[in-house]
Amino acid sequence: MRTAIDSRCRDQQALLWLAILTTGLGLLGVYLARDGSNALASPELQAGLIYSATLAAVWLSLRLARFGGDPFLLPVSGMLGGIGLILAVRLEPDLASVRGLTVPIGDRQLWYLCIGLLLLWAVALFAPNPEILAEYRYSVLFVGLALLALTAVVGTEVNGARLWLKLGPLQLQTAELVKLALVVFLAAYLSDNLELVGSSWRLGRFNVPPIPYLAPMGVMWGLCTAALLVLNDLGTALLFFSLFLVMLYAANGKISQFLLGVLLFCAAFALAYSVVPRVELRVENWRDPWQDPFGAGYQQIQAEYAVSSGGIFGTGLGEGSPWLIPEVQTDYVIGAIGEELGFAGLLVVMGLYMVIAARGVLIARNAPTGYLKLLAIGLTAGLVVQSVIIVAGVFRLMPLTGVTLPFVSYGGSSIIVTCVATGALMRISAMQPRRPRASMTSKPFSVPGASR
Amino acid sequence: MISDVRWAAAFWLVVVLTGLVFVVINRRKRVEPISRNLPVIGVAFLASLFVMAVQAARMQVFQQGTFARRVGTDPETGEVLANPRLSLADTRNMRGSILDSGGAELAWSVDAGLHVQRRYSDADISHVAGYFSPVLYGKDGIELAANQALTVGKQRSIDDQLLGGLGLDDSDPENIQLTIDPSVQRLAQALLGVSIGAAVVINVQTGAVIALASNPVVDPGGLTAVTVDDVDAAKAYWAALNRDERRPLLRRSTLGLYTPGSIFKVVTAAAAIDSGVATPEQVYEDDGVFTVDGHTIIETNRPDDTVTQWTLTEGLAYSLNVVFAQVGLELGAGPLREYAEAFGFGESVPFEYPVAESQVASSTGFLNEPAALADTAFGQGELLTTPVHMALLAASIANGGAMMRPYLIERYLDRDGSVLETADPSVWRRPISEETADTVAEMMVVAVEGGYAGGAFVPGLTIGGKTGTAETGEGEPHGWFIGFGGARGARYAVSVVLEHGGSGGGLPSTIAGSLLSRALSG
Repeated sequence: MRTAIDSRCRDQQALLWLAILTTGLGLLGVYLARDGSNALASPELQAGLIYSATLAAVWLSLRLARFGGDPFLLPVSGMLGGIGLILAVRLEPDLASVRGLTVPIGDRQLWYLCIGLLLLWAVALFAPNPEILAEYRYSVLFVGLALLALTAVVGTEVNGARLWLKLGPLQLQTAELVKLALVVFLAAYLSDNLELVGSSWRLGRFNVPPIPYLAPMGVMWGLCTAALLVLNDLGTALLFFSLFLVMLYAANGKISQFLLGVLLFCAAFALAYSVVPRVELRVENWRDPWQDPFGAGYQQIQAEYAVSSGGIFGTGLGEGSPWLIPEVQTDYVIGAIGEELGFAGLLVVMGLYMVIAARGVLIARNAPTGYLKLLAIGLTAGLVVQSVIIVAGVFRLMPLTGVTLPFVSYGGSSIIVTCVATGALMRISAMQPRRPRASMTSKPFSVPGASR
Repeated sequence: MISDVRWAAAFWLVVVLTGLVFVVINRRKRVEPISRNLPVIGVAFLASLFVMAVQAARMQVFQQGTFARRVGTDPETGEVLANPRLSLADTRNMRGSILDSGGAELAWSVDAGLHVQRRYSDADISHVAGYFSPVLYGKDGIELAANQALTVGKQRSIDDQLLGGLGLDDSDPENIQLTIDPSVQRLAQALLGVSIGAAVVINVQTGAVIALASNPVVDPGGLTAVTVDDVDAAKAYWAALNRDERRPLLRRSTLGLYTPGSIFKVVTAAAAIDSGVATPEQVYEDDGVFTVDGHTIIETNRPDDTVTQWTLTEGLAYSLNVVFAQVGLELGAGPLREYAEAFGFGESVPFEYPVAESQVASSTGFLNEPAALADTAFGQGELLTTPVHMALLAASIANGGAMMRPYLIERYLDRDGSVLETADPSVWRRPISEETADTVAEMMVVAVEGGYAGGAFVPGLTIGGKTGTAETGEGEPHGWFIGFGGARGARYAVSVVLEHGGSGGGLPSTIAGSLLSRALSG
């Protein structure tokens, strides 16, 4: 057993070094591309040192505490966060000079990431058993809905969508927090009613989904439609509903109910399409941004120019012009990666999210209780579906809906919530009756002892 | 071409199908309730991310050029949106200078901090250097023709530099020295004055173009806008240029197609002598009227209406249409066309600038009509040609029948001024024998010294030439002069055209004489 743990630590160590090296070399590249004069005082190298030190400290502390959970999530998140940090640092001067950005996004992203990593560490090691949260499911849901309602009433509008809640000096993207609350509630609710949502009631000749299924479905539908219509936030609506569908499917495995959910969402979407001009605009823009190249389509077109100009290996950090894309530091950050790191860089990023997806599913499978399984898959979906929604939007595989790219996009709320979610996943992974083996040679979906 | 939306639909279909396949595979597995469903979710996640990577491959590898070069137009304003990266490098990187033959800068770049500003010495060189308008109107002229050398060096591929991700730091712009003699070039523009037209001066032995003037000029400095502040002025200037009925943006020296009129008699005479149909001393009947196939040609050019017998030399000197109509008919349609083509008609002149193609006739059967053949032989008919081509015609006569390939770039220089590459003069074509060329050259000297081309006469210089007065069907005719000056071995050829400038014996001849005299004194 001891040797197994040691080898896992070595694996983790190697991955961690990779993450630190990536961040360090990337920031060195940004520094070199900018012709700095005083190396030690340069913000790029300082950011690299601070971030690497935090990452290493978190890892060391986990190791000293004999953390027995998933060894991959920390290095993978660390690497994605490092890429995000590199881009924030790299974009800051260009955005300042070209777009008049006054926020020091490089510094801020560094502190968001460091705080995020510490939270990840704290949650992974010290969080109480998440089962406790299940006890307060309705409170959690209520808090989430209240936050959402509050945002709808007193929130600040940015680019036409009401996403922000101002708390003194802090700006909070409430949807990010509500996302966590939603996952907790759904996991608790669905695991409670596992039998019920899996069954069906007969009404004459037809199999009818049971009320316990219809109830959350109705609530979710109402929630998402409200987000769509009131907050004007397509991304959140789509993400929430996707989370719900993924978790529902995980709970009962019924394709018919999944499809019913999709249909309901389509209905809500059709409603929004006819009522909210923004939705129609996004769809038209997805179909053909060239109809209005200087207006609605401008951002999309700039993103496509940026990504395609990157080619296979990219222009190199600091050598491209990703600042030409409006909002490149948040929603369109994948465009900057595409331009400066090229197809190779995008493959790495997609690969890292694939690792998160695979590990998340494994953690869910090995989690000891139904609630924890659903919680784990919900948290994983929160990371993976969100990255798919934004990347597909930028790549014009679906209408663009503004959500952040987990770990990479600039923004405190997103980074912190993402880190907490990852920490929670790691916490769950450490609770498993049998740990998923670190070695990739283990059979992908081998069945744990339950059936024996 | 499959639309992007269809690609997207296909990609998502792949994700859905992959998910469904796993639903089916997963069906009979007896595992605890939730874990049973997780593989399907995992596979759907991985498939979605995989599809993102495939789309990235489309955009960055397989259809990269299509995506990076897409161009859109605003439906209302007509403004064009293109990938700014393609021009961004132009606004940020230093660009090589364009120098005249003496090494003085005609165009150069100034590093203005955030961007690089292009500057030009003056407007007189606008139709030589072209313009460089990275943000708005692209490039033209030498700025376009030699763009690669001016930006990254001649040996590199620009696509590699811009889109291949190699970075632009290692680019090494070269300076370009032109063959342009600034004093002749500026004199040419000055002499054109307010007239609309063009003047070209060529070194007959090398083909080096020492003046390439076209009027009206464009101020290239007015189009170089890089900063937001300059853009509006540049747009206004561009709009004014396009509104101007004199069409200043048209480079008449290479792209202006004009009926040559009597200067084409040089081709007819050369063809007749070279093929043995005529000699300079051959006498033709010209009593003022000549009828061919029911088509009457009235002769108004005879200096003495009592004389009805004229030699071929006199025919050229006095530009007698009736004489050349007969020469053409004797020569025949086939040979006349073949000689014209040997002189480069029907082909594009190889040059750094695009040159409009000179034509003998629009339709192939045109010359088979005797009347049309007669008209063509003295320069009317459906003939069309460019000033630069006609300068080459005069140059080939002055150079013993060898028509040199014209060129404008003398050498490529690196940053330190050392020569990387020098022009290598070569013969483009040899339409006639050396003997014929010398004979025609002598006839052209007679035309200047005793004939109607006397306006080009400069005391102390040997100048040969031919005037042309091309009827255009409306307004004043175009006035032409082509000729050469200097002793054998150190000669320059010239062509001048003035749109609706009246007789070629007037202003065109005197302009040509001044240009030759300046070229020879330099």
